[in-house]
This record gives sequence, C-alpha cells and structure tokens, in this order.
Amino acid sequence: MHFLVPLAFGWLGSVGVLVWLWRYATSRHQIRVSSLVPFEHLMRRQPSHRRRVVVNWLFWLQCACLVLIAMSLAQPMWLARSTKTLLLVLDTSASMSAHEGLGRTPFARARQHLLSRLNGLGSGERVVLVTTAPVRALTPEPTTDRFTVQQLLRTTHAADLGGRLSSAAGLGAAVLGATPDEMVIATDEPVPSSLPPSVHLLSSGEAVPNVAIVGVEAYEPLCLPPLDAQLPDSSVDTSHLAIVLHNFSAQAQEVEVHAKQHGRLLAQQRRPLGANERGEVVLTLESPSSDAPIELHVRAPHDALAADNQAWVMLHGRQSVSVAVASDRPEFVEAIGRWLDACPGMTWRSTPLPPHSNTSDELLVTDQMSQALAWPGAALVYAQAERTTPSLAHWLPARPDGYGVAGSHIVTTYLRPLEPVATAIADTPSSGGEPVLWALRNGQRVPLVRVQIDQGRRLVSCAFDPTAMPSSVPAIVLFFNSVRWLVTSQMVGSTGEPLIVGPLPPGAVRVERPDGVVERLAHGGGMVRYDATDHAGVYRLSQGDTVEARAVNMIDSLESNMQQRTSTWATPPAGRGISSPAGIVPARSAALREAASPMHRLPLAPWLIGVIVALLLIEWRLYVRRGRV
Amino acid sequence: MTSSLRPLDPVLLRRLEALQLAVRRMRWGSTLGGRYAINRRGSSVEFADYTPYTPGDDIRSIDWNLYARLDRLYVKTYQEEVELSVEVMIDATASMALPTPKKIERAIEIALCLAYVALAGHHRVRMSAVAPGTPHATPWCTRRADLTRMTEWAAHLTGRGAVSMMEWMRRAQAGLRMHGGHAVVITDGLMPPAELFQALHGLLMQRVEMKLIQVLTPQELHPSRIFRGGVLVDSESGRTHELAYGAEELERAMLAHNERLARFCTRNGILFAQHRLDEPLETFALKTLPSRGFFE
Repeated sequence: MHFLVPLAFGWLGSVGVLVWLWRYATSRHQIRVSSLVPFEHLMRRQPSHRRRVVVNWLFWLQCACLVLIAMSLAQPMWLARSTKTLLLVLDTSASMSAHEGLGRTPFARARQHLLSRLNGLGSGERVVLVTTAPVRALTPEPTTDRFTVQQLLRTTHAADLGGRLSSAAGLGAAVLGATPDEMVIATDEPVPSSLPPSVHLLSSGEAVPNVAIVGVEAYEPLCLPPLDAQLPDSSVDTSHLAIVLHNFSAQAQEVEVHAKQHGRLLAQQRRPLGANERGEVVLTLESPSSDAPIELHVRAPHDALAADNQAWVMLHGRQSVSVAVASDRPEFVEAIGRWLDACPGMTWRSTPLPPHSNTSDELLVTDQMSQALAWPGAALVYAQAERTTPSLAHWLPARPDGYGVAGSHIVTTYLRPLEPVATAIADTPSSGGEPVLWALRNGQRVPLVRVQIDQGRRLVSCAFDPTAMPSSVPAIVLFFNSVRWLVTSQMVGSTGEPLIVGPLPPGAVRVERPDGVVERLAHGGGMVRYDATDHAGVYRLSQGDTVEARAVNMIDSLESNMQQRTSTWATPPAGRGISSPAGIVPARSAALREAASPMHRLPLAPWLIGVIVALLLIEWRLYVRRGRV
Repeated sequence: MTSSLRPLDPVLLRRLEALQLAVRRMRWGSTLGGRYAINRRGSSVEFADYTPYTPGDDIRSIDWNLYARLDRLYVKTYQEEVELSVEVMIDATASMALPTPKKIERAIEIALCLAYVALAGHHRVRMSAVAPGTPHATPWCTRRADLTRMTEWAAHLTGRGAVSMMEWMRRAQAGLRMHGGHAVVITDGLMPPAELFQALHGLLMQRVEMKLIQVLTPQELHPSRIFRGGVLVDSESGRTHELAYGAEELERAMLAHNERLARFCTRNGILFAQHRLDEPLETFALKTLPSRGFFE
C-alpha cells in the first residue's frame, strides 16, 4: 500500500487532543452515586496518574475514527497488477446497419451485447475497445473505467465501410501489449469454424435480402469509343454512367435506378435481377453539369441496407485528359505520344524522371514501376524493353470470378479472346493487382495486364513493351481502355480510401464531410491527403477560393451480401499471437506480460470513509443507549 | 410520590398468608390475643404437650390417666396465642433512590410483604420511614385491610435527604415509643457501619428482636458499571471524589462492606438477608426470607 500524502499522518496528533478532551470531560462530569462510604479506604489513596483517564468503548471508537481519518487524508492506494484483460471488438462495418424489420439492426444488438458484458466487469479488469470500420482503438490505453467505455459504445455508430475482425483484434492486442485474457467480438458475421477458447464471438446478423450498387464507372465525352454496341454513338455533350448492381437475395427483384442532379431527374431505368444475379445498368446523361455531383439511387422491393443503394459521381466536364509521360527512353515517349496525339481530347507532356505532378488529376504513363507507385494520381506502367522477350502470344481476357457475369474488365473491352498478338513480354511477370489479361505463351498462362486500386489510386501495369508494337491495334485499344479506367478514379471513390487533392499552397484546408462535420487540416503545402472517408457522399476540400469535390461511395460486395455473410476472422498460425495490421504479434511470455501490464491503483480512501461513517453510527447508537443525548 | 408503586399481587398475598413471622424468643410487648402460638402453661383450651411435674405447677393440670399408666406425674401444657408488635422501618434517604428509584420501591414492597404476613398473623404492625425531620409512622394496624392504608402511606416515600441512622433511631424510640417487640429495618446499608451498628444496638438494648434486610442494585454490587470516570458525588453527604480504580478493587470494597454488616448481624443475633434488585420479589418473599428464618 502506498500513501500519496504521507504528511497527512500528522493528523494522528489529534489522538492526543482526544485524550485531553476525555480527561477534561471526566474532570467536569459529575456522577451522583448512592454512597461513597464503602470506598472510603480507597479514597484515602491517591490514584495513579495513568488512571486519571477512564476509557471505554466510546473512547476507542473515537480513536479509531481519528486514525482512519488521518489515513484517509494520506490517500492510501492499493497497487496491484490487474487481474484480467478484456478486449472488446465492435463491428462497425456497413452491414451492421442493415434493417432486419421492426427497427432492429445488428449494430444495436451487438452494442447491447457489449454493454451487458461491461456491466459484469470485475474490479481491476482492464478493457480495450476497438472498432472494425475503421480499425481504431476507441480507448487509447487499457482502462478499468467501465462507465467511460459504455459511454464510448453508446456514441459509436456504424460506418459506410467494410471491416476486418482479425485486424481489429490485432490492433487491440497491440494496445494491450499482450494477448488478451478474454476477447468478445460483437458482429453480424458468422461464427468461424475455429476460434481460440478465449475468444467469444457474438453473432447478431440475420440473412436478409439486399440490392446493392457494386460498381460505378463514369464515361465523359472524350474521344473514346462508346461503352458497348447497344449504346448510340456518344456525343460530346453526353456522359454515360455504368452502374453494376447485384441482387443479394434468393428471389428475383425489379430494380429501379435513377440519376439526379440538383434534384432534377437526369435518367432512370428499370431492370429485373434474378436471385443472386449481378447486372449492369447504363444511364445516358444528356449535358450534365459539372458543378454538382450526380446522385444515383437504387430502389428495390426487398432491400436491407441503405448505404449501398446510393452513389455519387463527380463529372469533371472536361474535354481533355492531362497525361504525363515519364521515361528515360525517347522511343517510349515517342510511341506513347503518338497514341495520345491521335485523340484531341488528351493533352500530354513529357517529364523527366522523377516525374513531378502538376495536378492530382494528371495521369502518369511510364515504364518505371517505382515512379508509378510514387505518383499521387493514377498511373499506367509498362515493362522496360531490355527486360522483355518478343513472342507471339494469344491474349486472353480474364473472367471475373464468382458471379458468372459474361464479359471482362473494362480495361480489356473490345479485345477478342485468344487473339494472337506479337508481344514483347516481360521476362519477369509483374506482381500486385488483379490480372485482367493473360498471355498464352508456349502453353503457359502469363499475366499480361494487372489492375489494382491502392488507397484510392488506380494502377494498371502491363507486362509488355509498347515500343515493340507501336502499331498494334490490341495494344492501342488496351491503352485507351486503361486510360479510361484510370481517369474515372477521380470521379468515383470508395469509402476507406484516402482522398488526394492538390497541390495546394501551405495553409489550413477546410474539409466538409457528408455527415455535416467540418474539419480543418493543417497543410504544409503540396498534395493534400484526407484519410477519414468513412461516410459515403461528397467531400469538399477547400482553401480560399479553391474547392475540390470528391465523391466517395460504399462499394463493397462483402458488406452488401447479407444473404451469405463471410467471416473476416483469420485464425493466426499456431504459436503466434493475434494477427495485427502490421503483421503477426507474437504471443509474449508470462514474464514479459507481467512486466508490461501496469499496476492497477485502487484508492482506499472511499472504503476508509465508509468505515468511519459506520463507526460514527455505532458511537451515536452507544451514546443514545447510555442516555447521553 | 413513588408513582410506579403498585399494590401487591393478590396471588402473592394469598401465598404470604400461609407464612408466619418467625420469633426466636418472646419479648416484652407481646400480648395475649395474637395468633402466634407458643407453648406455655396457660389457660388456653388447645392441648399442646406433656411436661414433667415440678412443684408449684397447677395440680389441676396433672394428667392422672398418664400417671396411672406410667406411675409418674406429668402436667399438660396448652397452646397460647400471643400478639406481636412489629415495627417495619424503611430507609427513605437519598441513597435509596440511586442508582435507580426502583430500589426504594422494592424496599417498600418488601416492607409491605412483611407487614402483610404480620397482619395475617393477627399481629400489630406499624411502618415508619427513616428520613430527615420528625420520625413519622403509620398508626398501629391489625387488620389485613390496613395494608391498603400502609400502601398509600408508603407511596409518598421518594428517597430524599440524609439523616444519621443512629440519630433517627434515637428520636424514633422517643417519638414513636419503641420498646420491645420486633423490628425489621430495610435499608441499603450504604452508611458508615459504625453508625448503623450503633442504631441497631440501641434497639437491641430496648429488647427489640431485630431483622435487617439490605436492598442493593446489581450495579452497586459491581460498582465499575457506575463508576466510569468523572467526579463522583455522594448523594447524601455531598462529598465528591474523582474515583478511578479498577473494577476488582471496587467490587472488593463493596463486598467487604456488606460482609461487615452481615458479620455484625450474625454476632448480635440479628437476622440478615440481602436482596438484589434483579431477584423477583416473589422469590425473595416466599423462598429467601423463609430460608433465612424471617418466616415460618
């Protein structure tokens, strides 16, 4: 036990005062007795000095009170290592907001589960609360204050994001500094087949039907071919929106999609979707304005989640695309430049390495992967010539997996399957991203084109050298398809991915969020990065007269599929701790956990005060019985 | 007035009627007519016993039938009932009201029990109070119904003031004309022993058969319960003392004082009984007093 104010023990001197007061009271208190005659021989003796204070239970009670008061003033603290650690994981992903009828949502049930668990929190039990979307620790450090944690739970809401349970668990373990003694996960995901004994997963989700927007692509009138043959020839004033819908239910539904701008209906379409069917709706927008986002809404008879029923698209309304070509090979710049010159809607410049971005909308075309990864905007990367081998390969567009949709990625539009193309293919295939185009060479499939979206930035990597085939039609079609896909990244974003705008001069940047919250960012100049895109809608970043608007949408098939939910819990390898976003956190030894766990302070003053009050009540009762009141 | 003094329980009274005052020896003051039976060669009609003939006995008392059988002379004796004079003195000084007024109330109740037994035995009973001022007493009572009058008189006793027992006895003997008979003193005995001894001795000199009943509370027998610090004030003398002694010392002192009283009574043929206030009155009157020789 420790005392925060040891000097308070000086109050023990009050015991001496008490003794003096008793002595004084004794000398003043007169007791009438029947007779002193039997004690006359005693009265002739002088009583010893130490017997001059006659004490009884009241005196000792008062002494005890004074001692306890002195101890309370010294603020004793009982230091003990916390007995138990508890990690609470609350799934705040978009699917938790699904309406399951009668106003119930999985999130409300999950939150109630955790609140109930906190009601049974033992003294000294340390708690960490983390959410999955975004992965964040609501308690920056372990706490024993259950009221604070309950309040955090009550003020937390689901986000328009997908979440990952094991990532949140890893973050919680990192905050605790060790594997928690108990982990409680409240989610709508199904219980995985294998869970550690200390992990309790409370699944509160039910299978409900849902129709969701799972993809949006906007095509502005550039000198680009129309999306498909069914559409009329595009005009310079016409934009197209390709909305991919999925019916996550066991019954067919008639889905209605409409696009509005400034409250004005621009286009609408109805389309039947079979059970668990994915389909595409293309809306043609006549002369849309570029000063406001296009709002897309989807309506279906049976739909549980509202967050994936709407999307926003920012049309830039420009007639040209800015492209920067960066390479240390003049033939590369020349070949790409010739392709770009074929389209008046594209303006391009050659920039030396390392390339510098003029705007966040500028597209980079290079043969240096490192430069593409450092580029703030979208990039198209080709292989370097010295690392390629010419061959006649059959190009095969990849089929998306899982949904049986005919067709392929936008990047491979108009490419005929198994078309033989003389290609200088990279000796070392690129890695990273989803292969959308394969090359069949010598009986082997080689990934030729990969696409990836990394933190909101789109990247297309082509494992062949364009300078070896500058007149190849498939290569040119592939080039323009890639450009089209890369350009739309600025028009449609996803929740959870950072927004990158600029460059802006140094100074405060004002951020208006879709939920109405306004934030101010301190900006030191250059590109502005905003990470908190957890709500779908339009984000406006402004500095002075400069305003940059970005649309962010909740597009996540995993979250939208509430008919067949998927578990995002990954069991760590045996002998390892819980996986964390940074990797695997190894399970610590007991000694290290002991050293890492902080001491738990239990103030004893309230208990002492309770004892003092009890003693005073006893004393009062004794006084009443003795008739001294 | 002792407001909580209640009349004796009728059941207790009926049981007291079966008792008789025990008399060791006849004294002057006993007159014929009472119910106390003594064997004496008297003229009563109730045969008592045979005694050998001694010259001077009435020859009419000789039982000739017995002489014919035994060839010896025996004289018949007869029971003679005499009336006793019983003085019941109640200590009504201030010490009798401490530590609780119940002490003097109990003393009064004991006095009434004794008086009733005497009245039931057709004796004369008078009740007096040892208190400051002129000694006063009830008139002589001979009937059982006089108990009510005695009760009303005793109800005014409150335990107040201080008086020397010896001085009071002296004045009472003169004022109340005490001579002979029986006397019962009911007191707490918390006075200088010499003073009490002299008072009792004075009555003994008057050929009064004495009985002493000491009434004490349990707290007085265990003084540490009362003497818990502070300044003690003697209720009668007004003396003060800051008594701070151990419980054992105080109890020993009280025990020694009471034993001294008991020894004096034993040496002087005075019946002595000590009553603790927590002992029921019925037990004391019906069992303790007969066992101590107060009743038969």
